[in-house]
Amino acid sequence: MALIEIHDLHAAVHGKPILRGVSLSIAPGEVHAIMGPNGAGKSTLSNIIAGRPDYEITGGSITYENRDLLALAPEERAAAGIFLAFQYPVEIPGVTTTTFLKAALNAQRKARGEGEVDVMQFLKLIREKTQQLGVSDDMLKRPLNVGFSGGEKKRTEVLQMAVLEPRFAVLDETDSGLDIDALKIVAGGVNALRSATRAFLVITHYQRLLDSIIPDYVHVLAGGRIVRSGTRELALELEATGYAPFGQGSAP
Amino acid sequence: MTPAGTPDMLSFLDHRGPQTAALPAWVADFRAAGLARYQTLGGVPTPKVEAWKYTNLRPLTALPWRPATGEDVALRVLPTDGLLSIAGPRLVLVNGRFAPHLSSPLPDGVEGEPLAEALLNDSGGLEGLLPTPANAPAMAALNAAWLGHGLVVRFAAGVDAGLPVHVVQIFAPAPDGAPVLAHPFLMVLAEAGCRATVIESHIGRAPAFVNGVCALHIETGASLFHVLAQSGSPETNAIGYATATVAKGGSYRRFTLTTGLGLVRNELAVTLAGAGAECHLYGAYTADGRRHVDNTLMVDHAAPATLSRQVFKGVLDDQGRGVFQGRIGVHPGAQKSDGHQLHKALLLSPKSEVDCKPELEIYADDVKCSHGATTGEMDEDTLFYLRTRGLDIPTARALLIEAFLDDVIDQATGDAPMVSVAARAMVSAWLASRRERRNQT
Repeated sequence: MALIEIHDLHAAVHGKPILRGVSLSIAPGEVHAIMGPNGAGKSTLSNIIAGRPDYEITGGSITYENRDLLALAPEERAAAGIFLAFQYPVEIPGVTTTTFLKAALNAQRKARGEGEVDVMQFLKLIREKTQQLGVSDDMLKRPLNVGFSGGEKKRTEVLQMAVLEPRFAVLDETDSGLDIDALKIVAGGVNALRSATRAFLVITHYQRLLDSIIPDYVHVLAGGRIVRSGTRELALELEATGYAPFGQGSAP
Repeated sequence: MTPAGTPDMLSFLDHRGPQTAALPAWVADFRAAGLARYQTLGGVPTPKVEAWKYTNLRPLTALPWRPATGEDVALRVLPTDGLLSIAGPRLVLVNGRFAPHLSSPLPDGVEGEPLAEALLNDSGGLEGLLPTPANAPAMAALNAAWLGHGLVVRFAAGVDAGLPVHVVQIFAPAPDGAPVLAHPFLMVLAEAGCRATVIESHIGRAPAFVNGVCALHIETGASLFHVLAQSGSPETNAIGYATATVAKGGSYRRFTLTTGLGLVRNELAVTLAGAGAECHLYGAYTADGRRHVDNTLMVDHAAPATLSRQVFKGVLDDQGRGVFQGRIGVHPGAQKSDGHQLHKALLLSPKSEVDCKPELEIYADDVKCSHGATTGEMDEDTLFYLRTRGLDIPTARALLIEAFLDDVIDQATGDAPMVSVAARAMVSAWLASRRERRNQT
């Protein structure tokens, strides 16, 4: 039984078609990777799953836990367990990372009819997760993402994911702008969250992230469609051939 | 001669406080000079007067104002609005009149005297400390014409006053419900080397037009932190003209926080008169509904090595309007002056508006002066980011508004945690009332 089922999804931005019939089924516990050349529609897909308002859905459906995902507001999706790790995390001056984490956790708990998190429990949770991810106390006290390096921003995204404990997480080019050490920390954080009930969609241009986050399935998105699907070996093959066989882009 | 269109501002001159023969002779001259100045300037300023281009008082002057008589207002309990949660002695004015039953004793080294008494006693060289009506702008001159009620607060030389002294101005309904007109006068004298905090609160409870004047003297090496917190009914309109003179090595820090009242204009003219004098002027304001908040600042660097900072931030919603006019002037010879000014506005509604006018006027060559201004809407990408983390739109917007204003609250109150907490609570209360209104409509 799929956790999320994307069926023949068509989408456009300002009237320009980007997705032209994407279908994808992800079961709990699975990690899927989507690779593809620039402009294939990878980020469009992740933004549509999270509910960014700028896209026009021109056909198809997304069903998540038997609900029509496209009918839900972004915050309702979050409360239902959807998480998007942004390619370009937003800077929020004036809101410390800790305050932000607490606001997000409490908002989701409230939407689920749960009470606010106990402050002591919350601090304990944060301490545990930050140690795993090498997030310093200083970063927790600073305004979210303001003045953070690329690596710090991505680690903070994974920290949010660890605290919010989603059921379905989309990582949008989480590897972009990371050196190999930062990549390992981020991948380690993601791997620590893998479980039988949680699924991931890892979007990347490069194969190297998939050396650290080993996917169960790999899909190639090109020209707004999934043109090939396979196992981890497909990623290795792409490394050798590049995206040229799919009619677009250059070798990674 | 009565200036055209302003009979209501002048028709109650008989009520301007103590009129007895016991008053020192200079008081009558002072009032006459105020009236003459007001009339010379043509009465209530219109938007044709450059300094009042963005703030129009004329619609207000049409109401049937009646001069305040605080004595007849049955106010038994002090409100708990705004910054009144902060501990400290209180001096309370109701509709401009001193209310002894709401006030509390002051600590050693601090004196507070109702202006009416100070005039009768002619105490402490008052005459020399009052701003000269001959140079005053029109509304301040009108206040001078009405000189009679208010407060004189003195911090003795060298005293460290500890707890803040609250000067609470409440504008309460008159028994007959008539719109209240008040011309309160406040003087704060920070004598040499003292350290003091004054929290001035304007709390609106009634239709009122308040035309206040405030004179601040910061003597050699003295340090005054002055908070002005304005909250309450949009039917209460408050314009004020404050002058601050900072002597050698003195420091004046001011934080103006406006989350309520209707039409507000806080005009402040600071003179950095002695070498090394500093002023740090901060402001945070909200203007929603049809509220109008004008902060007009003039800083004169009249001595060398003086420093000024102006940081103001405003949130404009509905048809709210913000005005920021900030002038930095550097006099000839005021070398090594350092002046900076920043205004940032956040517009939440397409019908909200902000007018910002910076001015630098520099007559010395070795100075550092700069200004900056930004006006923007809430960032859609940021809102989306917050929503993907589970915050609904109202919660996300409230968080961003709070963060926007927190920044200046932090700068203004960094070393005064009690003020900081209470100031944040004022912003939260404004956000809560905004949310409630949104839910009703």
